[in-house]
Parts: sequence; structure tokens; C-alpha cells
Amino acid sequence: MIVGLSCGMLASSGCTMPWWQIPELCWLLLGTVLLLGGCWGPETLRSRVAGVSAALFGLMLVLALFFWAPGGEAFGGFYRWDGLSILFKRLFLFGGFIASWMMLRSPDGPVAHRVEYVALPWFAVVAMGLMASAGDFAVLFVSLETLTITSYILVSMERDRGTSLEAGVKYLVMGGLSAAFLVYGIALLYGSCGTLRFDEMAGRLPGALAGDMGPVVRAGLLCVMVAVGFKVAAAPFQWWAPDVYQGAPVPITGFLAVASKAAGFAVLLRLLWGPFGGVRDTLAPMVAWLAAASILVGNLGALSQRNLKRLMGYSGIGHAGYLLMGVAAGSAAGVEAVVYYLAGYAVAALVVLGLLGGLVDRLGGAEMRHLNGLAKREPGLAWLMLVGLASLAGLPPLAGFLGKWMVFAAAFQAGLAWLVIVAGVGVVASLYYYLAPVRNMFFESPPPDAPPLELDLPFRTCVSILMGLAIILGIAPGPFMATIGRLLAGL
Amino acid sequence: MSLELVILLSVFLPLVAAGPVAWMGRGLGARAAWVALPFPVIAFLALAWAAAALGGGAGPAVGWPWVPTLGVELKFLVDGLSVFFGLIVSGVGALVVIYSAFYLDGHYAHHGRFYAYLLLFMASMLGAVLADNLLALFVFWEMTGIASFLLIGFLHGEEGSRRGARMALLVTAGTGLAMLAGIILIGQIAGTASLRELLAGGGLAGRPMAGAAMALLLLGAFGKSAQFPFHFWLPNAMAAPTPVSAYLHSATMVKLGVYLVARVFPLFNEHAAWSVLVGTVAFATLIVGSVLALLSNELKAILAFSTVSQLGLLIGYYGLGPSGGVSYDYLHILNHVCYKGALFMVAGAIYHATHLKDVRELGGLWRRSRWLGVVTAVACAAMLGMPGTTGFLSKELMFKEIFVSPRAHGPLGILAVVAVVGSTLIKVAFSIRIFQGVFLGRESEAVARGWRGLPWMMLLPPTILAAGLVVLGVAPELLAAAMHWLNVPGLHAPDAPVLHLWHGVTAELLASIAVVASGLALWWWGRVTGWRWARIPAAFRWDEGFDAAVDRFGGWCGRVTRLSGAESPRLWLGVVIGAVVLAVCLGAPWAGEAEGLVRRIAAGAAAQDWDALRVGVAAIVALGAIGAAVLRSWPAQLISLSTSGFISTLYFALYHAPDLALTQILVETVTLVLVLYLLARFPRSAQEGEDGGAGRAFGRWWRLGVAAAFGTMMAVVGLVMTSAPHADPVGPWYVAHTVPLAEGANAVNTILVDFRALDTLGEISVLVVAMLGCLGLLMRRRGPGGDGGVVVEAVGVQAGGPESMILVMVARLVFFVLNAFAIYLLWRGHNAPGGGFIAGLVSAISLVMLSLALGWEELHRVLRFDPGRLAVWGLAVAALPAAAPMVLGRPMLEQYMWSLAIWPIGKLHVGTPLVFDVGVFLVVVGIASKMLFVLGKSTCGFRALVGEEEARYASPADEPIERARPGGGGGA
Repeated sequence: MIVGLSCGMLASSGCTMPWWQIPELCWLLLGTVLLLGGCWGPETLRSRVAGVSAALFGLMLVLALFFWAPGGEAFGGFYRWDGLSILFKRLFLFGGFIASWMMLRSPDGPVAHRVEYVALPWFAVVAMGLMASAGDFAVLFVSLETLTITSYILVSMERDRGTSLEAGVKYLVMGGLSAAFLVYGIALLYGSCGTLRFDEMAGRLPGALAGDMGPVVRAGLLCVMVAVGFKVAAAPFQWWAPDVYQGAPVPITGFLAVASKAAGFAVLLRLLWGPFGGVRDTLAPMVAWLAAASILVGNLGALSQRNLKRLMGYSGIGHAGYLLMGVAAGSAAGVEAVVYYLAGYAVAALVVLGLLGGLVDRLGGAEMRHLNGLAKREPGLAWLMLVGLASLAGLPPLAGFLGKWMVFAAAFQAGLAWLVIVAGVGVVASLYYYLAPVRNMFFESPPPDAPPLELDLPFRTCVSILMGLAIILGIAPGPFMATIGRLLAGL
Repeated sequence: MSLELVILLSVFLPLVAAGPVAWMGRGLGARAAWVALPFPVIAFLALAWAAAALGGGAGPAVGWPWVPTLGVELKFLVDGLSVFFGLIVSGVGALVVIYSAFYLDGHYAHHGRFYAYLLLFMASMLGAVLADNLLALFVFWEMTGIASFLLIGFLHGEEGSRRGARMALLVTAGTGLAMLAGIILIGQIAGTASLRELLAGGGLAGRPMAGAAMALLLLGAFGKSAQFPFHFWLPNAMAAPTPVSAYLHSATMVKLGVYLVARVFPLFNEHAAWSVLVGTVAFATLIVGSVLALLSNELKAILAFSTVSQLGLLIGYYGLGPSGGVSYDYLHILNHVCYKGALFMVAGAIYHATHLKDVRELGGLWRRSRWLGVVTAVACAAMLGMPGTTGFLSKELMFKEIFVSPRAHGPLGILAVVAVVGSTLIKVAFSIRIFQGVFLGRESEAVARGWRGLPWMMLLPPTILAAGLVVLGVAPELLAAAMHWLNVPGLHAPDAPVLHLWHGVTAELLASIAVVASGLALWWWGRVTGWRWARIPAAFRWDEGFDAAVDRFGGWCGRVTRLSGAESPRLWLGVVIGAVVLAVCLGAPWAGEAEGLVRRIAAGAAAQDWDALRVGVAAIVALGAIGAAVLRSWPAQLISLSTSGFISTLYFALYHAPDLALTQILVETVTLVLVLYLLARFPRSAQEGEDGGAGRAFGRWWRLGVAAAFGTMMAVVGLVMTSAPHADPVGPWYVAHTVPLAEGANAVNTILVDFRALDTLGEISVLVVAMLGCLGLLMRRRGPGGDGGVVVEAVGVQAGGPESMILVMVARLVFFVLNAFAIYLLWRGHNAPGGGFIAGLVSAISLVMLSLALGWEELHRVLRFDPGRLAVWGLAVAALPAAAPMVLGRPMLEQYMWSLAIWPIGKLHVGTPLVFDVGVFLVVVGIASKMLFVLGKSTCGFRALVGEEEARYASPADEPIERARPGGGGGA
């Protein structure tokens, strides 16, 4: 009952939303129930907690896809229930769903059966949902911190592996640093505008920036942007990403790459089309420079990588750069392109990371050489992987291609032709490194004593559906784009 | 049949078919060719139908909407030019598939994959020539590059193949990017990227930036068509199996550049730089290519360089074209496709039969295969332009047009004449060399030893091409009619081309007789000298230089990656902070704010209280910070830094903020102890501080500079902030309303537990989560028995506590006193300095003290509870007053106060804020003491392991460091 009631479907346009309809509350409850049930529940539940979690994520996703309607706010404007937040919440749920499905067959040893490993993504999704809905800097900060802390627990979940711990510590340091920047920035903005509310700040910020307090406001804006830059792993705030992606358990890498990055962009869009709306033109060049730096650092850095998880880390920086291009465009088309790109990236990245997660123990590792001869051992899986990589590289007719096209077109229409050319360099470099694993899979011969790759049917189904989505999104994006356009209409 | 169906059949059917062909090829082996063959045939027939339906004029654009919301459409332009190229691509494609069926015999593996790549290439190629939108053209263009990469690298076991594949991809994709930039510029200039609309809109030459767009587009075309200075990749691409060379690298893919130049000819040919740019590059290529062909000895290398030179000729033809349009481009292109395709197939056949590549090793094949000899003779005759072949027509018409060009183009025309005449002369020489060297003379020993025979079907495709050369050469009217039928307005001159077998005795005929005679002489000289001088000088081996540069680039990327990795977060922190400082500073003077800023700073400085006490306190704080920067050893740095923290307390006191002062001093204490514990975990060498060395010293100064810059920035920001009192400060409102609304005199506390209680609830939740997170990171190290305590005992650390009885007793006493004080602080917090946070910190410190006296083991035994759980319970207690009003239908966190008369204390005000504060207290005490316990306990056990640990650090990071049960968690 509570599930049905609290999914926001009763909210109608423009009214105040009763607090119990906030879906995050429902998710929080479910996460807590899973946590407690996994600890003290009956044995049947404890052994299937990952499955239950995945099923619940799926249910929530279905509710979110078919019953949510935008409009309204709660907690006196602290919580916004608009199209932007709905789109992103669907993306977060999707990320959580796939991550917990991957945990079903996670090869990461005893960790897989740890209940907090299963329950923490729920709390992370709650935090992300609040980030996307934030209407006040206080909510933004608290939810961002909750997400960061949850994430580093998840990253360092494999405590018997040095790299996992190292990744956790690095994520922690990054989180602390970015939180410091964020708080500094919020304090300065508060000092110059006298409010933490997004809607109020939107009106006061342009005046404050033009006035005598200009440097203070600029420092504040920059500090907040730096914090967001950390979250989306944009250069030069990217250094944590490769290590964390490599060190984290694979499902968590997928979760971070997809949901956490999306959360960062949710905040960025929320800020730039909210409190910072009046000074967007001032910030757009900075975003454009961040985009260029990220594209170059990410794609050139990925060129020399031999570990696939690390490669995904570097290429994730590059993708953040492409996404920032859409943001820098500052147009409605740019925002739509960002959302589409995120969805396309999520699908393709989860294909690659999902397969890797399912296979990593059988393959013996996530290095490129471990993929040798995959096409001979498991042709189906090799082709799935190929489609995922091709979509990431942006080859037509896959989702990655159309996403890049839209982002580039938006940037181009905004007069950022130089950025499009930089992005072109990145795309060419990415072709090179995305094709490298393909060479390993198809051209090399498998190791002589390779064990058979046993991958169960549900897992194959999951990855195949993801691949299907990557193709459908690329070939027939019409309905999807229509939904995005409808939900972002009021932005 | 509609044109849409033509597109579907020619572009998309082969694209879709590539997958199944690859799959079926695994079972079929060499027979996979017959599965692939229908697709080029279908494409050819469909395009032939389209050509028949066309009948001149600007063709229609057909296609489908793709992303209607963005206005992105997938349209294809079906006109004479695109259909002409499409027919060549699909026609030669069909022949190449037949040829490959015999060339790729059982000695090769992965047949299915080969034909799949071939279909993929053909589909992308057809897409590229048919695409209407320039961006779509670019995408298909790059797809041909990828297909070519896969095909060149098909024999990926060989180093040369991999090298050639990489080089081709990098050069063509790189120049393709320039083309993309050009496309984008065109889109900006003309407002559309649709070729149909562009062509309908007339030339772009007059628009601003048209020159740049043109140059960028041409750069792409030059790269793809291997024009000087990009000519070096094509010979290296010859590492591919010969059918691929015949198809991609002579007949079709390299013609894409020619296609693009023809396509944009109507748009740019009026531009002043068009003929200069196109002509210079193309005719330079013509000379360079033919000279290099003359200097080569390998059959395929000769053909490759001659392809380079002929591509120059084809592109240069457009460069010199008059503004009314060109007339004979189809003839030149078709002629080259047929004879070069045939010759490549012959070369492949020879290699197939003898496994020989070098002209010098071959000879006397006429006796082995007359048929092959006849085909070669016809193709060579067309190449050198003998009457009766299309080559003759091509050469005569080229001469005719070129001889008048000096009048129209001046020096460029002279260059053109020299290049065309010279290259034709050289072409004659190596054409004869090929035929004579391979087929005539004595049969060489290598041929006699290695001859394996040729399947006749393999000779069918080159025969068809050779037959085309002869038929169209003898009956050129057929060709002229087709050319007129496929006429494209703008590109071609409106009057019908005139082709005759015999034009009469003209100046061109005499010139070509002279050229052929000179060519014969050159060949004779080469034969006499035994072609000893035929060697490409090192200065022309640009491919090797390119490879070296690419390798160096790889190394450079590796260095960039190492720099951008997390190996050096200190460096990156500097970069991040430096970037922020720079961004803030750079903005200021440009915005004309410098003056106002200085005024603000001065006002801010004036607004401060400059009495001796405050200045002294500030000086001590600064001294602490300087000490942290100057000192080397970690503990000293830490203590110096915490001096700053402790002294800051005085500042709060000076400004009458006792709550803040109390909190600050307690937090400082707890943090100091925590970090000291942490430091103890590091080896002594690390604690001593970094060692010297120039690089390290630089790092220190760099960090010092960044820190100073950031500090200065924050100081300025602080001064500016305080220079003008805020118009609407929140403080007075809280002070005024704290008693009437929250029934507490301590505004700091009422803000925490009443006005902003929701924030506080959030904060303590985050604190609890943070504790769990830290535990996750810290509790990995477990003793051999599964519990840290065992390690402690095993290594003889003071597990049982110190001996002194007095110390233990005093500590216990102080523990109770401190906790009583903490409860008092908690109680009075609502009205006087104190409150949950402060009380929790005091209580935590009392626990630390007790632990110092008793030892961790004893303390654990005495306490009998897990402080971590205390924190969780605290959260629950705090949530109680938050949630309770909601049950009653009231707003969350609404407060209730009751006055209780309790004898003998008197009247007491208690309420839900106190419950909330108790929750805060429990959370703080739980978390602080939990962290101290875990750190302190594990550090005691840790010390003994440090030596072992240092050895472990040397091992790869991925090796598990866990020494006991993996994945164990739980309480300490």
C-alpha cells in the first residue's frame, strides 16, 4: 500500500505535495527493511536479499516510468517535484536496478552476500533523488554528503582487496575536498545573497555579481562549481575517478559510472537552470573549458590503459566532457541532449561493466588480455560487448552515436564550434581505445586452459535487454525524446 | 520500385547482412563468398534502375525522418554523380567478391569475417556517396575508414598489416576531422548541411569564411585520396590481401576524395583559392606519385604509387575545371577504375600463383598463362593510353584540355602541363616494365619452382574490367551517352560530351606520340641499367617518420596519464585550488572591479577591531600555521596546526560566543587525539617528514605558494564580506525570537534543536553514516584470532593498562566528574552555553582519558557496550520528537514544553527539544568514542606489524593484504 501511495502519482500540477508521497521516503523504508531483514530476517530472505532488492528496484522503476506525473513541491519548496527531477530519478532507479541485478551474480567473493552491499544502493538512490529534487542548498549539501559517504562504503566493500580499500580512501579524500569547496561556496553565496533557497537566489544573484560583492560571489560560484566538477569527474577534478573505478567492485563501478555521474549532472542542471540561471552566461564559458579539458584528459588518458575498469574510468571522464558540452550550450536542446546522452551512456556502460562483472572471475581479471579470444569462447557475449563498446565509441546506429550528435549539435548551435572540434579529437581517440578490447576478443586466441564461461540465463537476459535498449534508443529515439521534451518543457 | 527502396537495398541491406554473413562464414569457409555475392549485385541492379529512372537534372533527396524533434533526417541525394559512384562501388564490389572467392582459398582463415567487412565497407561507401546531409556523409566516410582499418589489418598476425592499418586509419580519420570542421563551418555559413539545399543555393565562394571551410573540406579529401603530403599511407595499406587493395585502395575508397571534390566543385570553384589549392596539391601528387612508382620494384608498390599519382590527376582535373563545369571526369574515373582494378587483380593472381611480389624476380609468365598475359596487356595499354582503349581517349582529352590551361591559369597551368606530360611519360615506362618484366623474357627460377596454376574463374573479374576498357574504347559513343545521361548541373558543362574513336591528327596526338616515344626510351634505359637505381630514397620514406611520431605520441599519452592519475593527489589539490584562485583573480580587474575591491578591502580592514588582544591572538594563530608549513615531522606539524585551532577559541570568546568557543576547544581536542593515533600507524621514517632533494623542495614551495594564494584569497573574501554589514542579517531575529518561540534563552542551542532542527537531524544522520563508513575502512585489519585484542596481547602492548593504581583511581574519579559535568551541560543547554554537541564531546573526552588509564581491553570490559550502537540509538532518540508530532497530525518537529513542579528542585521546564538534544548527545559521544576506540585499539596492535607491512608495500597493490578471515566485519 505504502509503495503505491508514496510514488508521487497523486501529485497534480502546481499544488503542494503531501510529504508522504515523496518516493524517497518509500525507498528509504525499503532500504531499511532490506537491511534489517538481511541481518535478522528468516534465512530464506537473507540468502535472497540481492534478488529481493533487484525486484524491488524493478518495481519502483516500473512505478516511476508509468505513474509519475510532474508538478508540485513539498516541505515548503525544499523539495521540488518537476520534470527534471523525475527524469533523473528514473535514471537513478535504473542504475540501482542494474547494479543490484549484477550483484545477484557478483563474483566478488563473500562480499556478494553482505547485506549492506545490497542495501546501501537504496540509500544512495535516496540521496541522489533528493539531490535531483533539491530546492535549497541545505538539502543539496546534506544529500550530496549522504551520497558520497554511502558511495565510499560501497567502493571499499571488498576489504580484503588492497585496491578496493585504496579506492575507498581516495574517494573519501575526494569527498572531503569537494564538500569543503561546496560549503565554502554555499557560505559565500549565502553571505552575498542572504538566502539558501534556490528560487530566491535566482533573483538576487545577478545583482550581487554585478555589485561590489562581485569577487565574493564569483568565488562562491566557482567553489560550488568545483564541487559539482568533482562529482561528475570533470577535469581537472578527475584524478580520483580511474582509481575508484578500478578498485570498486564491478557492480559498484557500474553504479557510480551511471547513477552517480547522472546525479552530478542533475545538480548541475538544477543549479544552472535554477539559482544560477541569471548568471548562466557567465558560467557557460567555464563549463565549456571544463568540457574541453575533460574530453582531452579522459580520452587521451584512456589511450594507454590496459585494464578495462580503469579504461572505463578514463573514458567516463571523457563522457563527462561531452555531457558538459550540452550543458555549456545553455539551450533547451542542450539539456535534452544531456538527458538522452546520459541514458544512452548508462545503457552502454552497463552492458560493458555488466558483462565484465559477470565474467571477471572466470576470465581471471579485468585486464584487456583476459578478454583474449572471448569471441571463440562465447561468441554471443563477445558481440554483446562489442555493441556496448561501439555505442560508447559513438558508432551509428547506436544510442551513443545519436547522443553525441545531439550534444555536438547543441554545442554547435550555441556557437561553440571550437569545442565541437576538440570533441572530434576525443571521438577519434576513443575509437582507438574502444576498438582495442575488440581486437583482444576477436583476433587473439584464448588461453589454452581457459575454463568454460558459465553465465546464467537471467544475467544474459539482463545484458541482452540493455543491448537492445542501446540499439532501440539509437534507431527509434522518437518516443524517448518526446518524453524528455514533455518533462523538460517548463525548465 | 521507389528510390527509397533503392537506398534500402543498396545501403542498408549489405549493412544488415554483414552480421549473418560473418556468422555463416564460420561454417562455410571459402564458400562464404557466394553468400555475400548477391548483395553487391542487388545494389548494382537497384542503382542501375535508379540511373535509368534519373535522366539528368538535380536529383531528388529521399529518406526518412530520424529524430524529428531535432530536425535530424536521414536523407540520400540520388543524382548523376552519386549514382555513377554507386555503380562503380557496387559493380567492382561484385567482381571483387567473385575474385576473392578464389583468391582467399583454404590458406586463409575467417572467410566470413572478411566478407562481412567487405559488405560493411561497401555499405558505408554507398552511404557516403549517396548521403545528402554532410554530417551523414562524414559518418559514412569515417565508417569506410574503419572498414578499411579492419580489412588492412585482416592478416593481423603480420606486423606490416597492423602498421599499415593503423597508419591508414590515423591519416584518414585525422584528416576526416578537418573535414568535419569544414562541414561545421559550411553549416554555419550557409545555414544548412544538406547537399541538395547547398547545391540549389548556388556557390558559396563569395561568403565570408568560405575559404577556410573549403580548405578544411579539401584537407579531408586529400587525406582520403592519399594526396601529397598524405601520400605515404596508401602503399602501406597494400599489406591488405590483394582483393582489398583492388577494391578499396584503387577503385573505390580512395576515390572518395575525388567524389568530395566533385561534389563541392559547384560550391567553391569560383573561389580564388580553389584552383591554386586543388591544382598545386594534385599536380604535385601526380609528379611525386609517378616518380615513386618508377622507383619501386614490388608489383603492388608500383601500382599503389601509380594510384596515388592518378588520384592527383583526377582531383587536379576538377581544380582546373572552368566555372561552367567539366566534361570528361566520368571518363577519367572509369578508365582508372577499370585498368587499375584489373592490374591489381592480375598482381594478386600472380602472387596467388607464384608467391612472388617483386618484378625483378618474375618473368616469362606468358608461357604459363596467355589469358593473364592478354588481360595485363590490355590493362597496361589502357594505362599508357594506346588507341582502342578508354585510356587513349582519356589521355587525348586530358592533353587537349591541359594544353590550354597555361592561358587560363598562368604558372599553375604550366605546372599542370609539366606534371601531366611528365607523369604520362613515366607511366609509359613502368607500364611497359610491368608487362615486359612479368610476362616476357626468360622464365625465372623462382617462377618455375613456385608456379601453382590459376583457377580460370579468378581471371574472370579482371577480364570483365579489361573488356570494358576495350569495348568503351572502341565504341565511345556508348560512354558519351551514359555520361550525358548522368550529367549533373553545376558540375558538368551543359553541352553533351563528344567522344570519338578517332579525333584526327591533332596537336594532342602528336604530343602523345612524342611522350610515348620518350617513355619507351626511359624504359629502355631502365632495362639497360637493370633498374639498379630503382630505390626509394630515405628522404621520401615519410611513413617511417609518421610511425615514429605515433609511437612517441603513445609515450607522451602515457606520461599525461601518469600525471593525471591519483598517484599524486597533492599535485592535483594544488592544480584545483590554483585554478579556483586564478579564476577568481582573473575575473576581478577585467570587470572593472579593482578599484571597488580595494575600497572594500580597506573598509573591511577598518571595520575590524584592532585592539592588542585580538591582534595578539591572530598573530599566534598565524604563527601556528607558519609552523605547520616550516616544520618537517608530522606530529610537530599537527601540534603546531592545532595550536592555531586552540587559539581560535579565544577569538570566539572575544566575540562573546561561548558555545562556539566550547565546541571549538573540544573538537580540537578530540581531533588532535584522533589524528595522533592515525599518525602512529605510519612508519617512523614517514613521520619524520619528507626527505630532501631538489624536486621535493620544489614541491614544498609549490604547495606553499598555492596555500598562500588561497589564504590570501580567503582573507580578501572575508574582508569584503565584513566591509558592509549585511542588510538583513538573520542573527537578531533568532536572538529576539528564541525565548518567545522556542522557550530557550540560548539562541545557538534553539537554532540547533528547534528552528533548524531538521538540518540537525540530517547532520547527525550523516555523522552516523560517516562513522559506519570509517569503520568500513578501518576495521579491515584483524588479528590472527579474528580480534584486534589478541594481537594486542600477543605483542605485549599494555593491554592490561599501566601499573599505577593511583592513576586508575584518579582517572575513574575524573571520568565521573566529567560525565556529571556533561549531563549538566546538556541540561542547561537550552538556556545557557552547553547543549548536546558540547556535552557529547566532553563525555567522549572522559572516555578517552579513562582508556589511557585503563588500557583498551579493560575499558572495553568495563563499559560492556558498543559506543557505535550508542550512536545509532541516539539517532533513534532524536528521531522520536521529530516524528511524534506527525502521528498527532502536527508538523514534523513541532515542540512541546511542559512545566513540572518537582520537589525539592522547584519548577522545571522540560520539553521535546531536550529529548532531541539527548539524541544529539548520544550520537556525538557514540561516534567520537567509537572512532577513538577503533583507532586506538588497532594502532596498538598495528605497531608491531609495521615492519612486516613495509615489506608488503613493495608487493603489487592488487595482492590481498588481508591476513585472516576475509570479509570479516562487526564490532571491535
